[in-house]
This record gives sequence, C-alpha cells and structure tokens, in this order.
Amino acid sequence: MKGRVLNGRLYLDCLRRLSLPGLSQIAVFAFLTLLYHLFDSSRLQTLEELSPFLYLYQYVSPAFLGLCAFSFLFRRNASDFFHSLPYSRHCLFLGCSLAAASYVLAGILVCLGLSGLLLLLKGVAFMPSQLPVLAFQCGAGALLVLGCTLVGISLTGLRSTTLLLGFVLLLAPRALAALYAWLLEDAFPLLEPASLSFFLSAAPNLPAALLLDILRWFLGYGGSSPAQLLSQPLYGLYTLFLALIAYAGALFAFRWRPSETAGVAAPNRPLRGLLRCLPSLPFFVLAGVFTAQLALNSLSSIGFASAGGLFLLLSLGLVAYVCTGLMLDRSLRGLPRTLAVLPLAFLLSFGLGAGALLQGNAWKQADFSSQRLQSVRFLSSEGVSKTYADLFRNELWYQEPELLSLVSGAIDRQRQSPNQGAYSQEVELTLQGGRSLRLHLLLSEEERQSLDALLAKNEAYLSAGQQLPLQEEVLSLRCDQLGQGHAAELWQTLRQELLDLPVADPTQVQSLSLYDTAQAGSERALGPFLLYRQSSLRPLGRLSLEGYRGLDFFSSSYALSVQTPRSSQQYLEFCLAENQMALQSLRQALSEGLTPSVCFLNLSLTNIPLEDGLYASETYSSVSIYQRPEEVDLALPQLNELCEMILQQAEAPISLDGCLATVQLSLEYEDRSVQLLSLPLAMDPEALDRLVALLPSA
Amino acid sequence: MIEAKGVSKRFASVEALRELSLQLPKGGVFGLVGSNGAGKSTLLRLLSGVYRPSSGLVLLDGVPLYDNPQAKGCVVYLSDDPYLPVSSTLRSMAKCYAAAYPRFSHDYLQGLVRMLQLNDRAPLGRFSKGMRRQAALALALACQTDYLLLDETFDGLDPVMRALAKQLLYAEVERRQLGVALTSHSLRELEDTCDQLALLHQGGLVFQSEIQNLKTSLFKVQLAFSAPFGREVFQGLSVLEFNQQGSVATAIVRGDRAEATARLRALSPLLLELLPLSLEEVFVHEMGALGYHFDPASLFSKEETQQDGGEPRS
Repeated sequence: MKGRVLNGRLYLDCLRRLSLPGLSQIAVFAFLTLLYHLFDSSRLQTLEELSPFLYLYQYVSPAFLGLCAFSFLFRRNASDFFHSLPYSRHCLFLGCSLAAASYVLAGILVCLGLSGLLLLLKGVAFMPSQLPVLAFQCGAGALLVLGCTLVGISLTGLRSTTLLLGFVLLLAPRALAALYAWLLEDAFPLLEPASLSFFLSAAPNLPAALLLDILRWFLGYGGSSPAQLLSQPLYGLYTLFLALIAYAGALFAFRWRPSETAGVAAPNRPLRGLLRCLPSLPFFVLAGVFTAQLALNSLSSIGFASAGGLFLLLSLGLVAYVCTGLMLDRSLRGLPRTLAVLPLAFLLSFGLGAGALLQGNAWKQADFSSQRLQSVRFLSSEGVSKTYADLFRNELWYQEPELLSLVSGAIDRQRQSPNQGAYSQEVELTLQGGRSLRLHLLLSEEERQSLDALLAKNEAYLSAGQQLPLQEEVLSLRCDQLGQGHAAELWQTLRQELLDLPVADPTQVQSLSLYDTAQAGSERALGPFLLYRQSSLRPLGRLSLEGYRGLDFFSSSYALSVQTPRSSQQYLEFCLAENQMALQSLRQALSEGLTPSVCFLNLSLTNIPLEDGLYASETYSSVSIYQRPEEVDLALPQLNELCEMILQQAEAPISLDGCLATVQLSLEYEDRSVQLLSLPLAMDPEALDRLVALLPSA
Repeated sequence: MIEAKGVSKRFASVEALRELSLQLPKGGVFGLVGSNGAGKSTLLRLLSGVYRPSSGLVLLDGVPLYDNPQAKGCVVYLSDDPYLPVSSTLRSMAKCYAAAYPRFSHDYLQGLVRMLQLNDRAPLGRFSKGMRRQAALALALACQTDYLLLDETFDGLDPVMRALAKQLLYAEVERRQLGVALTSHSLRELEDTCDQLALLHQGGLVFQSEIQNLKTSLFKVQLAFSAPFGREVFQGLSVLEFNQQGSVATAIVRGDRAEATARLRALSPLLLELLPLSLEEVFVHEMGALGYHFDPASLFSKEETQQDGGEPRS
C-alpha cells in the first residue's frame, strides 16, 4: 500500500516539528565544542579529545530528541490527533524516529566538522582520517541510546518511565555481564575475564561501556578507557547491530502500542510489576551474588559479602520496594502481587554468583604447565602510552619453550603466593586446543631479567623494535626548544640514520635513557664540582613524536647521541641557527659595554669524559644581582668572559667527541630590556677547563 | 459509510463499549448522545481509527479502518480537547494537516480564516478557547475528507459562531456529501443539527434513529375521565412514565401516534391531548426507562433527617 512503510511528507513534517529542539541542541554542543577548542586543545593525545563533548552528546541528544519526536505520545489529545492522522503505525514511527536520528547524526557531524576546522585554524596537529571513525563510533552509540529510548517510548506513556526503561535496557545486560566478570576476576585475580568471551565485558556496547567506565573509579573493575573503546571499529559495528535490534524491537512494540497508553506509566500488568520492582532489584541482585560468595566461602575483596552487609542490602531492597509501591499505587494493597519477583531475582543472582565463583575456581586450578601452553604474547599494560615498537611487539606470538616455561612458572608462583612481584605484565596465552585467555602477571625481578634477556635474543622482537613511524603516521614532533620545521627535518635525518644502523643497534640507541643507572667509580674534582655521578654516555637531546598507526596511538622518543652523529650534528647546528639573533644581541651588548643588573645562569654539562672511560654529568645554577654586592655569585668580569667564550664556542667547528654544555643565560639591564639565550654547545676538554675555571667555587 | 460491527473496547478491567453496531452514512449529520461515561468519545476514537477495537470491526466502505492510511485519509477527527500546540500557528498546523491529508485545501482554509477573522501567523497559545475551537474546525474542514467526527466541538463557541459552524457543516454536507458525526450534551443543538441520532448508555447502543422518527415515536398524553381511573387505561400501549394528579393523568408513550389516539379516544375521556416532546425530554425519558435518573430530593431529605437526628423521610 502506498506510503505504508515510510512517508516522505511525514518525515519532512517531523523534521520541521523537531527543528527547534534539534537545532538548539546542535547549537549548544557546537558552542561547547567551540569553547573547548578555543581554550583547551593545544595538543591532542587521545581519540576522544578531538571532540570531547560528543562523549556526553551521544547520551543527551538521542534521549532528548527521541522524547521530543514522540512527545505526542505523552498527552492524550496529542496522541489522539497523531493516531487519527492517515498514517500507518510503521509510517508514524519511522517518520518521527528517523527525523530524530537525522538531527542526532547531524549534531555529531557538526561537532566533528567544527572540531576539525578549529584544529586546522589553530594549527593543532590531528589525523583527519580519524574524524569519520569517531563519527561512526559516536553515531553507533547515539543510535543505540535512541533505540533504547524508543523502546521505552513504545512501552510506556510517561517521559520518566520511558527514560527509566531505556536506561535499564541500555545498561542492565552489560552491567550483569560486568558483575559476572568482576566476580570471576575476584575468584581468580590473574584472569582477564573479557578474554574468555565477547560478552564478559562491557566494552563492545560503547554507550554502556562508557557509562560503566565510571564504575572503575569505585570498584577497580578492569574496564577500558574511552580512547581504547572508541578506537575499536568492531565495537562500533556491534553497537550499531544492537541499535538496529533495539530499533526493530521499538518498531514492533509501537505497532502494538495502544494509543490510550498516553499519560499512563504502564499500560499492562507485567510492566506495572516490573516498574514496581525495578528500584529494589539491584539490591536483591547484589544480595544474591554476595550470598553465593558467602555460602561458597570465597571471600577475598568483596567487602559487602558479610552477614551485616547482606542484611543491609535486603533491608534497603525491601524499603525501595515498599516505597515504589506506595508511590505508584498510593496503597500497600498491590505489594503482594509482585513480591515473588524479589526472591526470584535473589535466587537467579545467587546462581550467577555461584557460577562465576565455580568458573573462576576452575581456571584457578587449570593446567598452565609449559606443555599445555601453545604460544604466548606480551602486551603493554592498559593505560600506559605505547611506543611505536610496542604496537608491533604486542602482535608477536612466541612459541619458544624457554619463554613458555618462564610464563608457566610465573603463573604457578603467583597462584601460590598472589600479589608477589614488582613488574606488571599482561600476557595472552593460547592453550593446546586453541583456547586463548589473557592474564595479569606480576613478575619478580629475576623473572623480568630473564624475560628481557630472552626477548633480546629474539629476532622478531628485535625486528619489531626496528620499526620506525612513517611520515604520514606522525601527528606531532618535539625536540627540546627547536621549532617544528627543524624538528621535522631532524626526524628525516635521524630516521634514515637509525635505519642505516646495524640490526641490533636501533633498540639500544632508542633506549638511551636520560636517567640511566649510576655506575660505581672514582670521584673527581672539576672546578667547583665534585663529579660523583658517573654514568655512561647520555644523549645530547631527544626527539619525541606522537601519532597513530591506524587507530592505535603511539608516543615514542628517540635519542640524539654520538651513535647518531649526523643527527646530533644537525641538532646542534639547528640550535645555533635558532639562537643567532640572541647571539648577535649578546655580541652587541658586549661591544657596547652594557652592564646587566641581574644575571641568571644555568649550565648543564653532559658526557664529561673521565679517565676510566666513563662519563659524568653535572649542572650549575646561579643568580647574580649586581646592584646588591651581597647577592653576586658570578662577578661581572667573569660573566663578560663567559659571554665571550660562548660566542667563540658558537663559531668553533662542532665536535661530538667532547662534552656538551647547555647554557641557559638570562641578562636583565637597567632599562628593563632582557637577553635570553638557551644553547647546547659542544666543548673540547680545553674549552671545558676554561669554562669551569670561570665559575665561582662551590 | 463507516460501520461499527459488534465493536467492544476494554481499558484494563473497564469495558467502555460492549458489542456495539451502528452505521454512519455519508451526506448527513449524525448525533451521538448518552449519559456521562456512556462511551461516546471512545466510539468516535474507534470510528476514526485512533483506538484498536478489543473485538469487532470498524469498516469504511467495507475496508477495516484501523491502521489503514488510505481509509483513514477519508476521516478527520476533532477531539474535545483539540491538539493545537501553544507555540504553533495556524499556518504551521496547516502544513502538518496538509502533509497527512492529500486533499487538504489551503485556499479553503484561507477563506475560512478570513471569514472567522483569525490571525494565521499568531501563536495558537494566544487564542481564546473559542478561537482555538474555530481554528481546529477550520483545519478539519480544510482537509476535505468524506467524514468529519466532532467530539463536543461546539462547546466554547458563542451562539453566532455556533450558527456559523452549523451552516458551514450543512454547506459541506450538501456540496460534497460530507458525513458528520458529532457528540454534544446540548440536545437542543443536536435536535436542530442532526438527521440521525444514536443514544448510548453504559457502553451499549440504546437506539439509532432518524430525528423525526424519534420525536414522533415518543409523545406525551394528557388524559382525564369523569370517573376514577388508573394506569390500566393505557393497557396495550408502551408507557415509559405515568403520573396522575387528581383526575388528570400524564403519560409518556412510545408507539404510533394515530393508533394510540384512536385507542384512547375509544375510552371517551373528558380530556385527551397529545403533545410533542423535545429531544431533551425524549433523552430524559429514555434514560429514565433505563434506570438513569437521580432524585435530588432524596439528598436534601436525607440531610434534613440527619440534622433533625431522626429517621429519613420517604
């Protein structure tokens, strides 16, 4: 029949009716996005930071617009009017709901488009290819929230009950799954329940997962961060699938919804019973679960599982039941009718708790011997930024018997003495038979060293460490005080240089730490310093970059050291080039004989060669106020000589063999003018001695 | 023709309509009367496809009406509390109606708006109750449907507007054979307006009849004899009510007027007068016959008795 399924004129009319609330909410969120990017987005680290208000939008907008689109269902005369119009039920539902969905999705596109535009105008680096991904993920989430709201609308006749039912439908299944997972993890703390089943985690249902994420703050439940959730397109697809199911359910319910439901909380007895029981159900579910824990004597971390806690939960549940009954019926007569639901919920939850406990115990007793393990992979810890190499290493599966044996031993040790170990390590195991699961291990110092030693011999692991970000994967570059242009040019040189190094070297070069461990050795006096912190070679500088490989964020840092001479040379040249103005100004001040009134000097000496082949580092800081004789650290003649020396050294050929002196100098004159200089300078031993001789004694 | 066939409507445990059957023809005005809660509004909602019947069928020209856009496109329904959002205007509501009813005439509406002197750009929230009724009626008429179902639509209209509204309805009935069904508690108004009338009571149809037949089939008889007499003189006639004061008796009789006159005249009464009944009197007597009557005197007498502290007086 013509117009039976979707009526274009009705859809347009619904768009027109919804224009005020629809455009208003888009304007509000666009304004919030504008404010955020104007004041608070100098640098993007996670996916949701592209447009953070979409996080809130995907809940608020669909619920609000769903209620607006079907507002006629909550008033008798409006309901009569719309149901008298010559539209089929399908047609009315589709017209109104699609109009609401159109505004919801338009809002997401507007917010993301505005974010992209503002980031471009502000010059903040971001990946434009991520905008459609975020649009899809948020769109799927918003459609699921809309679908749940529509189910609520189709079943009840009040806004409050609509929102309540929608919320329960959205959250209850995943909340129960999360509760089960939590109990499972409580029974066997090494286990990551989500690895056992797609349904044992809130994660795939994006809006539910983002809400349940709040629980992590209270319960320590191991959920996923918003960025991790949003970067999984599979979750978006699953959420969209759930949204379609909810939408189809709402359509079916609307088809049979009596029009006289308008203004009525629950048009039938089962729904009335459900609404009466709803506030008390969480208490009885928790009480059932904890009773199972008590009965099976497996108390570990759940604080409520005590007789007092159970009594409190049951009492609160009964009070909630009686109060809700009084509010709905204004009498106690209806209470006995649905009272049976509460013990039923208690018993089912008892079963849930007992099931989780038994499954957890079964895994606790499972055979994790090295013969049972087929392969293992080592994953970066959740919530820690991954390096580019980590992204490749996380994908590597190892079948070497030594590694399997090490993991098996660590599992056994931890089953016997939980929480013993210093190094957290996530592992994913594949058992014989193909079953895979993730475990949280705490490795001991000895196990950590063995693991590092074994991995250092693994070619695939080393090869993964050699991977360097591609140009198009890099979002932002930073290299001390260098400008973006020089930093980008330097990365080109360093990347090529790292690729040209022998296979094993890049890993070592990249891992050069600014805070490497102190070495034992002799002490040596150098000018005002007593060099006692002897260490190996340190990098001259660091080049840090952030970006995305696909949808995975990485943050890597690469050292500029004597092992990368071309890059180090270029780095020093760029530093000099960027300080030419400051050097010129200093030169002029010296030639004019200007006397500063205040001087701040910070001198950092790196890689001071020692006799025994080791190196040392030291820093020196002083503040001199020349109008106050009691506050002069560095006398004026020495300061002038130091400046002369800096100028000479800046013009000398750069040598990487000696020490590196990073000079930070600030001179303030009588007329309030200030000279600033921040410059790394390569120094040969003779220049270093002259420099140190200028410094006052400690 | 809209036809209800054995239609029942239940709301939870309440049965609002019980196996009701009636026909609403085109080209006439059909009145629905009944006691409060008789099911008049429910019946109109069923006839317009707003409600799904709990059992039975509502057909338009033989086709089920509920959830049938084509059939519903021939019917426009105006509830006793018309849906006119306060922020919308007549124009915006016209767009809404026009999107739903393919024969909606903007020209016709403009003509009505001009005639009724309504501002079609002003928010409907600023309209008075009467103006809102006028606006709702104008929109409904502009839909140019075959049937117009009006639930107490004339309430709130001043006498001039009532007369105008009726004229508009007559004109449409004549021009394009519009079928109108309307409910009202003003029987005087229905008497002047309707061709047919249906009486509902407690969810059932008491009767459906032409107004003229209705008024002639029920009449009042005043009768007096020289000798004492009682109700037995009306034996063989259908008497709804009988009152006697002294030698004069008054009875409400249903049946053929000529036959009743001949039968009573044969008894040689001193006085025999047959008086026509107004529709309101017909309604009261018919409902009285169904037990729908209240005696305020009993309330007052009870109160007096309670004040006196004695037994209730009969």
